[in-house]
Amino acid sequence: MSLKIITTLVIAFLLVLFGIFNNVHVEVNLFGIKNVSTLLSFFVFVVFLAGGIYAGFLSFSDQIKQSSIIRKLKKKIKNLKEALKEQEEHEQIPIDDSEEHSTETEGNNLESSFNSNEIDADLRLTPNQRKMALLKIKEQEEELKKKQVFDEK
Amino acid sequence: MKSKIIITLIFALLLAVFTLFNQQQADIFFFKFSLLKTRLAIIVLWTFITGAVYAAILAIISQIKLRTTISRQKRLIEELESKNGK
Repeated sequence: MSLKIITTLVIAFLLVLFGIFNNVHVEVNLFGIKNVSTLLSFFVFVVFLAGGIYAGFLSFSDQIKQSSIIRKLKKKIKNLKEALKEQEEHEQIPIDDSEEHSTETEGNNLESSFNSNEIDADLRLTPNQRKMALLKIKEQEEELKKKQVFDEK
Repeated sequence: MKSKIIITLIFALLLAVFTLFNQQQADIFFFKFSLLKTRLAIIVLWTFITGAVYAAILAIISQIKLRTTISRQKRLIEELESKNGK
């Protein structure tokens, strides 16, 4: 940000200096249509702006591309985070009384590692996504129970 | 890439026509002294280039920022994927 401000200030200073010392009028021919008498400094400023607009147009498409990539990556991060949370909650479900303690410690470990992660606050789950994740976990729980019953048989 | 070429061609054409129509002499002053006596077309060209370079510098700065954001996010994705894999 500071570099942008510095370059803008330097350019503005140079343009102002140019404007102060070149207080003369010039005849400008507008593509053979019309002759206009204008201040040289104003004319130079307009041409400078035209150059800026040209470079801006060129960089605009690149910026759009990169911001779309960033949006996609954010979405991917969100999905991954959701999956990770699902996995974490699934591992916290007590399957057997004997395994209860071990799963709890595992869950705590996962939670602490998850909290230490550098995930931005704006990427957290929305209530709807949380509900969906919980539903998926319940389904997985039921499947696990069915498997256990099958194994016991 | 095509759009860039088209924009460049349009601007180049406009600039070329404009410089062809403005071949008269112009004085550039610094304080009271005439620093440069040149054609208006040359002044137009140099000013246009300066404006383009200035805008390019600003664009490059913002592009660097965007690229660092992308690489940071990619690293985060790798981290999350490895955690999911475990």
